[in-house]
Amino acid sequence: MTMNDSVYEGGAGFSAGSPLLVDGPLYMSGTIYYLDSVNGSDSANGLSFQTAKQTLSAGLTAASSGDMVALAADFDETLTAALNIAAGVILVGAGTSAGLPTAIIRINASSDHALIMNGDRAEIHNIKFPVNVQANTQGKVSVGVLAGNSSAESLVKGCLFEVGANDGSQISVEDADGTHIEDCTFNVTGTTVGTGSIGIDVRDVGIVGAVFRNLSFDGFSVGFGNAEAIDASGSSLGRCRFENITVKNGSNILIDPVGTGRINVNGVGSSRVIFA
Amino acid sequence: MALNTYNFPNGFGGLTGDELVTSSPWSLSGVVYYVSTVDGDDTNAGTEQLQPFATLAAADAVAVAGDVIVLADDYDETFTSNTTIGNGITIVGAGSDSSGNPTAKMTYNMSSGVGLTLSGSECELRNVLFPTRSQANAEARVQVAVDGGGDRALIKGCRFECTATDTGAGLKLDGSSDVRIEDCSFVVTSTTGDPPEEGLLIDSGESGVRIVDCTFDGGTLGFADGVGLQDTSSETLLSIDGLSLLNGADAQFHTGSTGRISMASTTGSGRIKFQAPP
Repeated sequence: MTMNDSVYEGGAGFSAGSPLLVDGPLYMSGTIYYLDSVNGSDSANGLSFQTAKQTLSAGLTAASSGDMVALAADFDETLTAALNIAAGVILVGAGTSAGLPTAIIRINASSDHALIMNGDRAEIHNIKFPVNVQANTQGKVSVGVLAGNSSAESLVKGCLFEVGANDGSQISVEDADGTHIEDCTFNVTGTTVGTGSIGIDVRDVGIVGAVFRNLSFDGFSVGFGNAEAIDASGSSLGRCRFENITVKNGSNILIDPVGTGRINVNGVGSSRVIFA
Repeated sequence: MALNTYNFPNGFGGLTGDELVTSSPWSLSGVVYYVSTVDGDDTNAGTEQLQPFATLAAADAVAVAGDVIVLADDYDETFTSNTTIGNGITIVGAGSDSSGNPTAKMTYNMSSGVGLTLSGSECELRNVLFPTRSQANAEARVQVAVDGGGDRALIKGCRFECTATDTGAGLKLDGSSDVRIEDCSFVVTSTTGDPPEEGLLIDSGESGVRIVDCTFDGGTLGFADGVGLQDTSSETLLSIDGLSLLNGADAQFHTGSTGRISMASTTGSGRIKFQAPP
């Protein structure tokens, strides 16, 4: 296997969305599996947009390390159970509207994640995660599994998380040294929230080398649950970097002061960093 | 050490350059050391912008994990021996010119040996200009690290200028995993003489290296053998996004490497080559 096993001379073929799907040429050791929830079929091979698979389950089952699963700009799927993203698999959405992703993944379960990054160096790019269909305290995206599989060096980039009363956390960082969460937007769109409806929940203790960069949290009229945009209390982060974090309207950042690294948070209104 | 030990409500005092020195506020567990080759003195404590060290060596001697070393925008130091940066230390240059290039300069005048070694995990090197060397040297100007170490290092916003005296790579990765190289440029600046060696050399079986929005520019002369980016070993999940190959600069990858390469732009005869090293 080498990086010119698949050569997409014109790129992945999309005109908007993650640069991964727009730029070209694109050379890969793996394969792109195309998903189209409107016109796709899981019996198709998924190797072109014209022969797209329909469901995330089919795409993620077919993909292995180095492969990309590309979602059409109008992709919209409601999951009823968590799906795993294996080590080295890249899940990426096409399409943007006002600079935010349009490909949608939501969860309709009472206690389950939508996606679990279940191996090292998995990636998620440019996907919109709306409010849960039913009340569910599990994080929509779980980076690793606490006391289970780690997902070191994973990347969540350019995603939009809409927060409402049915939500727990948007991203739960479980067992994941070197996690990068970049260029993501967390907006409270509901008129009410639960106490656990927060942005990022850092659940493991002693994660090393995590980077949180260019993140925007806006609580709008009601704020996040307990006004917590990020809960990293009790986490003892090592060499962490929080850079260019913007918090508005009830979006506090809770950080365990016992740790090393640096924090740059710009607050609007009463949003603040709490070392607790 | 607590993450709110040191708080800088107005930032680190830089006006241009890397966002680390222009943004605010900052809270950090480590100490910020300032270095100015113009106004500094190594007998200073270095912890105040107005009482900086004069040399990087003075700051490096006291810095530990979590500390930040800020180079003044007119910093200009020539090194005749190696500097090694340990775990979790950040070096960041203040200042940028009208083209957005860094102005803090580290020049090497050594006939052998690596210039700057990032030997520890989570080291950072940001917004520093590396002019061409004062004398020929076949080793790298910056290396991450030596036969491993240097995992999760970040090299961001640096510019490597390359001429005939650069008989070694500008930047070399040597066995470190999950290194990130972002927004860096590797540019041939000479118009006569022998072409320089590659700007970036990936040399020893790394995993998870990410190269994002980097530019290799062959200028008038081009790189030696045309290759600006050279991968000589079998990398695992090498991610290269937004790659620009300008003025005929090539990128050559080992046939045993896995991952992806996404091109942003190419000018001249720049090529992507896949072949085992000679």
